[in-house]
Amino acid sequence: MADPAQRKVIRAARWVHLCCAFALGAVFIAASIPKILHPEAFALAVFRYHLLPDLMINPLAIYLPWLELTCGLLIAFVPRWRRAAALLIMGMLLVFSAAISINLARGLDISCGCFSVDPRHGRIGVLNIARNLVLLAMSAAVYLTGRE
Amino acid sequence: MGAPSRFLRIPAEWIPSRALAGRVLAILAAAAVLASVANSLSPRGIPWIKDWSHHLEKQAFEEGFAVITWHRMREVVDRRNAIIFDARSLADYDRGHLPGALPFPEAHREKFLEQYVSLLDKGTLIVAYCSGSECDDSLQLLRFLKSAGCTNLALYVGGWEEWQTLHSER
Repeated sequence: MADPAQRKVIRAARWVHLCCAFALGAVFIAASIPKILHPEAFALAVFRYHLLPDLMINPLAIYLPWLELTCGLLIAFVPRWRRAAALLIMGMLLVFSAAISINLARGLDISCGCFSVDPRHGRIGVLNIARNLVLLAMSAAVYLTGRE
Repeated sequence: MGAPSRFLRIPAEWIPSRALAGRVLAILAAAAVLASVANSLSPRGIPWIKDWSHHLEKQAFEEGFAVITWHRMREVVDRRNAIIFDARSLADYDRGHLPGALPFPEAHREKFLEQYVSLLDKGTLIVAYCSGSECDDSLQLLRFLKSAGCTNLALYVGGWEEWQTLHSER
């Protein structure tokens, strides 16, 4: 039997786990929808990062939003699949942060393409990386506090 | 050597199990199936392979010109800290152009270069645009200005069409 202090920690961990999972689910579902609705505009956003060979731009633009949506739904609503989705979300966030960092270092003027494919949406910046780090910490929390 | 400290030991449940790896692969596969089906059924579906090599933006990027998007172009127009050249024909320029833009039709570039030579301070940002992302007059103009010794050159890739569309929607 756990003592009261341990029970408090377990309860807090469960709350952190649930809150982070729902928040990440909402973020990834919201991020995927404009990309699914406007694949051509998203392909242009991917192209503007100038990181991928031409052959990979459209396949990524078709695939990535569905991976985001699947992970978003699983992390929010399917407890048994939460840790697997959290792992994939961590991977995606690391790749996105690396892509943004490289283009910030290059001084490219591009929009993020993260939550909108509208070119009027703000340019990439350090805030995008900071936001990704927060999301990364949340997905790590989901992974570490989850059970299979 | 003693046993590792309990603080350095990674809990066993943090290490991905085989079942977890299986779930990761299943999610990757499910997303691939969903993406393929949705892309083939959707009227907005796109081809899996597209040749981006002729894209104006790619050519400009590879030739070392800065490529600026609508967001930055708006700042340039508002701050008036750059020379903006409209590479379309004079007739198109007269029908409408970006605020503060000067006509520099690509077809008469020699004549117009003489006219603007006093403006072309080598360090000032020069932005060129044409009708949209499909035309290449702006890129040709940038190449010409580069050969004339200008260094701080940028392409507004969306051109007049994007500017008009996005401004009318604001």
